[in-house]
Amino acid sequence: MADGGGAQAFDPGQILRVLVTHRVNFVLIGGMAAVLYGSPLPTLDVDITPERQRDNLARLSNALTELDARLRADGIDQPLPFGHDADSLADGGVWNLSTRYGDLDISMTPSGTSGFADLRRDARAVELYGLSIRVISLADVIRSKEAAGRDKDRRVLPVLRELLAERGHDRGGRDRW
Amino acid sequence: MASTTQSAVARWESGGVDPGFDTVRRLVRLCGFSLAVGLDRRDDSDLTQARRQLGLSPQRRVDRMVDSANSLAAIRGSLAGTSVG
Repeated sequence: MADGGGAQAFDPGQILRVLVTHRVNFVLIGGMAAVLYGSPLPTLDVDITPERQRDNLARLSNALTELDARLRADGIDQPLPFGHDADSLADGGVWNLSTRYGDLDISMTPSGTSGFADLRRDARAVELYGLSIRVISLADVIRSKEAAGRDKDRRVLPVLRELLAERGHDRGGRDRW
Repeated sequence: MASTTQSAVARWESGGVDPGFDTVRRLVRLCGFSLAVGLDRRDDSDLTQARRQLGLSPQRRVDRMVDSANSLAAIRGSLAGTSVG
């Protein structure tokens, strides 16, 4: 589907595949990371934090072109055309995008964190769709959601805290998916 | 000022030792904040579902989420199509 419209089926595997194919260095954050740690609440987008190096953002820009990424905004039905390169991506803190495979949110510095290097430190690899994807730690998911403080974050925080406590009680739990 | 040692802080940060409640309250005060504590009625329904999720592989967890998300989107789409003034 080439129109980047909002009616396409959500296919996060394709979004991740394009990012990996373009060798974008990123960590998976947000609701999908929460689901990987057990959250029962579904999410409708892929959230990532990319490394902020210029060459990485250039690769991200190429990936976004292949994904036919467009800007989405509340109150606007059709996503808007989105011209981008490494510099313009670096200038924005958050990009809310619609792609041919569903929504993709890019956050350079998620709330409560200092960005990629901060989150990469405790991130763990998981195999999804045959790809090795770096996912931020459960503690960092909680940290960013606590700082963001939106209704949808507050809704999921109690169960995430319980899951973190259970992992902490099981000493091997920190390394278990 | 916090009357503690770097090694004690490191143990808190690593999760090896839980600081007591009074310690937490004192540290929060030292940082210029006050600690608000409240009680909510406990609801284990999300946790029960989460534990069930943990019995699945990471890929299956995501697959189920995607199925749910697409089902929700389809329902929303059909509702939007039928809700005329």
